[in-house]
Amino acid sequence: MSSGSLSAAERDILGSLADVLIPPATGAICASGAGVSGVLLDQAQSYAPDLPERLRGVIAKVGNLGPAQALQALKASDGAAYDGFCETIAAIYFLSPQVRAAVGFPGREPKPARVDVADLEELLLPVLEAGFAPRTA
Amino acid sequence: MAETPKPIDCDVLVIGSGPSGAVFAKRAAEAGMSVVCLEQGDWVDYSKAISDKPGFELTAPRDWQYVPTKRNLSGDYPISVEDSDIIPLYWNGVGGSSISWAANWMRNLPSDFRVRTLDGVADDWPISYEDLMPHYARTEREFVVSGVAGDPMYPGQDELLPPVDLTKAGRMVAAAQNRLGWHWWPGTNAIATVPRNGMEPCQQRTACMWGCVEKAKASTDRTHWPELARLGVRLVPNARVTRIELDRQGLARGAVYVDRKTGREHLAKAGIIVIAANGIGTPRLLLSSRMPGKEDGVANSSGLVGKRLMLHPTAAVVGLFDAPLESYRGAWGQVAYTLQFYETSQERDFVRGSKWSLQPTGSPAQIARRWPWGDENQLWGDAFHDEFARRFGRSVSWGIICEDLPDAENRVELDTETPDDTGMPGVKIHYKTGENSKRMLRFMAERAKESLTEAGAYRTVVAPQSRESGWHILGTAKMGDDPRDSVVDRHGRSHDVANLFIVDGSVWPTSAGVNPTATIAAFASWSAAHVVANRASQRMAS
Ligand SMILES: Cc1cc2nc3c(=O)[nH]c(=O)nc-3n(C[C@H](O)[C@H](O)[C@H](O)COP(=O)(O)OP(=O)(O)OC[C@H]3O[C@@H](n4cnc5c(N)ncnc54)[C@H](O)[C@@H]3O)c2cc1C
Ligand code: SF4
Repeated sequence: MSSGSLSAAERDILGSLADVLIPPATGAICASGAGVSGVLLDQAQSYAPDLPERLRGVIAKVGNLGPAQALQALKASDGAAYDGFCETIAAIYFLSPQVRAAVGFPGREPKPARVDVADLEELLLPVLEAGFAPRTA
Repeated sequence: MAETPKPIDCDVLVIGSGPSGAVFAKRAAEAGMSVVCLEQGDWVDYSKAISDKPGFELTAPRDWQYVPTKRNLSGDYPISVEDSDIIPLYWNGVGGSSISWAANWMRNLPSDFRVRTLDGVADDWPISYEDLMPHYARTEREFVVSGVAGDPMYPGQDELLPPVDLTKAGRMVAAAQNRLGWHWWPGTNAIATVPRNGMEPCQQRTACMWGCVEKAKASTDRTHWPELARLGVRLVPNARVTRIELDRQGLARGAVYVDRKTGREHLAKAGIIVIAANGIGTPRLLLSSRMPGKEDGVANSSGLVGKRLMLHPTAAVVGLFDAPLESYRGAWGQVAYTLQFYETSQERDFVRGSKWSLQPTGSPAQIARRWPWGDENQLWGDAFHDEFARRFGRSVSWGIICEDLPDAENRVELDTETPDDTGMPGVKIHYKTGENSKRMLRFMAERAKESLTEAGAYRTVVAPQSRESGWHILGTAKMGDDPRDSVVDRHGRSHDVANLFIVDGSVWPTSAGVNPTATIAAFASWSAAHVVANRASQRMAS
């Protein structure tokens, strides 16, 4: 673990914050259950080494407040920071192959974009027959 | 010790390496002129292009950030946006803003060149669609533009690479447009679908906009500069031009630039200077080039440099569907577009109109962003799993571009209190969204809801207005025939300085309502053709 990683206590708080955003539900995986404050965080940090710094700002705000109140206070005082935190948690959460499978995301598999024009002809016929033309007057 | 760079003395000095600069440089070099390009930023590091990896969304906001106020790119300069409804977006580096663009490739319509004649507002352009037609065709080949030839709205657009997938959602919306009797057409994109011009086919790994790992999305660092190097064009990165130097006759004798690696200042001499620095970089440079007798900057006898900034206010409307649509995938880009509400109608309370582009909503992490869903549509907390399931893979969005009318109060000014690392002033943006645009935005959002509802959407979401939407920066060095009310003539030549040309979107008299780069590139090509044809009679500094 690099010296910049979150401590065990910080990870606990992060997990509780993340579970406010992505809570447990029947048949669904919550943030901490997916590993947002554990193995996924380490993986995410390998992409973005500055991640602990970004997250610490929000973790530090929890203090005596509960995680839900802390997030509410953040949203009220600094909407951009709140949005940034939520989006970061989501980006970490969806690193999990189990989560991706559960939501039906096949991953970033290549699928050539090209289609044959012939495939579109029927759909385009009404446009061609409608008499659209550039405006002249 | 830092190496002293080879002195620059060339036929054509291009400032800026984005689409306009690259196209101009190519035409001039192909005609045998010696060309040098000065670019204030650096080359992109494509080892950071990881749109094929799960961590893409964690790194993209850092490595491919297109909002200049949220990043610290080496080529950046200070920009203050407090007094602007919209934040201008761009990339300062080799390739210019084509590094971070969405590659929607739209020609202007013939009517865009005749706004005054047709609608009695703003100005006509001194050139026509027909003037640019051969240049559109040529640049479309260079920018590997794919799509379906034959849109009746676009005469003469007949050579495109095969289109990108219309997608399931696109087919549903297209059928709906047909039922409504509304125009639509498969998307034209500067995105390769077959190997061409050193580019490779798009693999639509999600709806990945930046850092194209496949080398499919056209950006001039890939489509132009490698070939230009083979043609002998010298591109100098990290070279910020701080002023244009004039001789006693008022001709440009060169450009002063600072090598940002060494901090040293140099004079690059040239017969012709071509500014291709975009709608903000161009007025910044001209206004900064103050000298005795030119207190308002160079090429500014009209007083219009920096004025009439147009930024295309935008809207977006998302439709949610019951059926799975795989909308996590699709060229971004646009899978389709419509020009149904492009022209002025007497029945509406605004003039001019909009082009809409249909786009997939993207990967799981993209779905979790605040925009375009907004506060009213809560995702986080108890609703998360259900709401996510409703959005993910089952939604599609119309992105709407509004033509905004020129207004002298909307402007770019120098900010001498925030100089950049070379001492050149930063900029302040003043921009208020006009009443005409606001009415247009409201109207378009309602029509887009109708389109998506007809396609089967059970819910539509109008995205909250986002300030981070100034993708298109136009109008700040107007083109026209009359030197009293324009900065450059119909070929981009300064009315004041006979060997100074401007070829980026600053020269646009009106903003049109489509994505501008096709016309920016075509205009650079048209301007270069004129320069090449008239080089024997071109006046130059002695
Ligand atoms: C996020 C985003 C999405 C977009 N999507 C689309 C789209 O889908 N379709 C479309 O048509 N357009 C789109 N655009 C706009 C498009 O990128 C621009 O229209 C296009 O890049 C303009 O080309 P240009 O060469 O005139 O300017 P730019 O590409 O902006 O290039 C200007 C270059 O000049 C350099 N420069 C500036 N000042 C100096 C100086 N003093 N010295 C040296 N160098 C200097 C800059 O560093 C920059 O590299 C988008 C833009 C953004 C940011
Ligand atoms: S969608 Fe296609 S063009 Fe865009 S980044 Fe992905 S592969 Fe490249």
